[in-house]
Amino acid sequence: MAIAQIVVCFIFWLVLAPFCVGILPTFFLEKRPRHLGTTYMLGWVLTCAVFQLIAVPFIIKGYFLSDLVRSFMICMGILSISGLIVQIVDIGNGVSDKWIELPSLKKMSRADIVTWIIFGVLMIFQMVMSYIYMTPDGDDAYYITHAQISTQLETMYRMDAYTGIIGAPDYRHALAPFPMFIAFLSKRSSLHAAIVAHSVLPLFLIPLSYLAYYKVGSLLFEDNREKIGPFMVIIAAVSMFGGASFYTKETFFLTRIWQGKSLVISFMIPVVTYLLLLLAKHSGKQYVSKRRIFGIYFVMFIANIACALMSSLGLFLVLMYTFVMMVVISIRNKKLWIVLTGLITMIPGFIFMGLYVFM
Amino acid sequence: MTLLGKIFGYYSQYTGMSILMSLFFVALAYVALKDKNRNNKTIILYGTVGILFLIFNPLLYYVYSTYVDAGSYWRVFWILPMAIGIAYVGAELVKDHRITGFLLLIFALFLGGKLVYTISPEFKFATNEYHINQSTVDVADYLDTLDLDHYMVAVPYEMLADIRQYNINIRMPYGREQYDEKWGIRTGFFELMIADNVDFSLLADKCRFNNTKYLVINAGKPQLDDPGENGFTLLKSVGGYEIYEYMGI
Repeated sequence: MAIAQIVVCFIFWLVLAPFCVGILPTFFLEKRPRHLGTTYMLGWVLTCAVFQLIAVPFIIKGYFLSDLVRSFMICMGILSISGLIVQIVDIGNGVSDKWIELPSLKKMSRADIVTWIIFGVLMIFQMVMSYIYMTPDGDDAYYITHAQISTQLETMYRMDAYTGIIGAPDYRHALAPFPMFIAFLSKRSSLHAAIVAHSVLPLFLIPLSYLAYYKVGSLLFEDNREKIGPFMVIIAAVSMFGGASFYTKETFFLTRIWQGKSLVISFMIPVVTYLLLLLAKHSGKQYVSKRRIFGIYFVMFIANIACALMSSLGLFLVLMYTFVMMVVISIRNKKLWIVLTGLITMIPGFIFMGLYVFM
Repeated sequence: MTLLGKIFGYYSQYTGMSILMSLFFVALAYVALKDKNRNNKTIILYGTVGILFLIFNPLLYYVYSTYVDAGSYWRVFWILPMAIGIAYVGAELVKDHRITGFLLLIFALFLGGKLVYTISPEFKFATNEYHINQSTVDVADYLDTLDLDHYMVAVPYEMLADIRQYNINIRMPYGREQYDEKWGIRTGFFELMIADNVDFSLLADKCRFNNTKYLVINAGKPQLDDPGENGFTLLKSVGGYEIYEYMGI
């Protein structure tokens, strides 16, 4: 495949498709016009959730990667078209007078602009480093090898990644088949799975993670938006200098973002934090919008499934995090239904954790 | 050691010598004393207190190490909103003096933090887009010209994690599972390959038993006996490694 075709392939599957799909979850969550960032961020969450729901049964049934790729593409096509129809209907009904809301530079002071430039420099530096600097890790012997096995041989989790010997299916790890997502991209782009994971994915996932932090910042500083810029600069700086050990979140973020567990802690936990901040805000009001609360829980439900794609351990951590935060919000806002309803959104997580323990 | 002592051990392992966790606790104190935003306080302060109560709970440690993964409890510290807490308070403090604030921050992080790109000697500028050592790629490319359909290849320790990422056609008698002694599955073949000296007579037995026709040996590694007398033929030297074919299969 020519370089231009490869670039178009990645932009389509990692930018356009999640963006179109993301219109659907924002239908419940946001006022109109939709925010560009929220739509894209939630589109990724829904994309991962859809992939998980298709991939796990396909792997257990012993289907081939091409079957998974075909089915996923059909689902994404349906969801993308549905999202576009929803947006067109919104504009037609006068609910929204434009497609999307973009940030306005006119409202920013010179200090704000300089701050955002500093953040941009830090983020671009990290993206460039992810491409030109190799950060090998032993876990890739499992993840990337499985992705390449599936790309090349079509089988999924039927071979020992470490030795290449055909063995019993590894159902346990197949419950978090993020390597199959890498294999999907490898298949569509005709690039080797190692190149997709090490050189391409970080260029999309690092900005995506910062987008999730930006959404958190936009809620933390809802009334003082000029502080979001400094917030993002500090997040980026802490991420770069957080290599206290091999074990820190920051190390995983900037040196292993293509691994599922890293994506959970770098992207999904900020997404869940964003949803929890929304929940704290809207449940604390005297008049609670049922549609808005439903939207938050609906996206939380999808987020649990998305976490299951990335990592079984990561899912366990997100469930713990969500539960503790919901209990705290419940106590602060004196509304027991917050945590009780929250438990319902965690059902997919409990199911996947149960499968992990008993398989 | 008590369970709580083990948890603190993992905490020390996680935080290392960095000041970031300390900065986070200072930020929490600031939020407790100064922050008036109820929703933010709920998530950042009270949420963190709840998470700390859970993390340092011996019951959770017991459940985690029994049913999830013994030896990796440090991962639960990932759910602490450390970066968000530090950035939230930091943004408040630097809002009117950004340049000074950012410079102080960089200074503090430079002294008390650690750049993630420097934590391992294996981190370096990539020589290819696979982000795999070029010598491993070169060895794998040569091995691909041999009969990999019927026979296996034994490689040295440093190639175990990478070579099959690059070329899955290379099947091996042992793999990356040999890395960690705690996994308890070290094979005699692996032990021979990582020994300080190459013993071709013992390796010949292992090759016969494991259907392994090709060996990759670090060039310059001391050899205890002659490869030719033990059935090995040197096929090629590439990337600082020697590739031998065992004729006894």
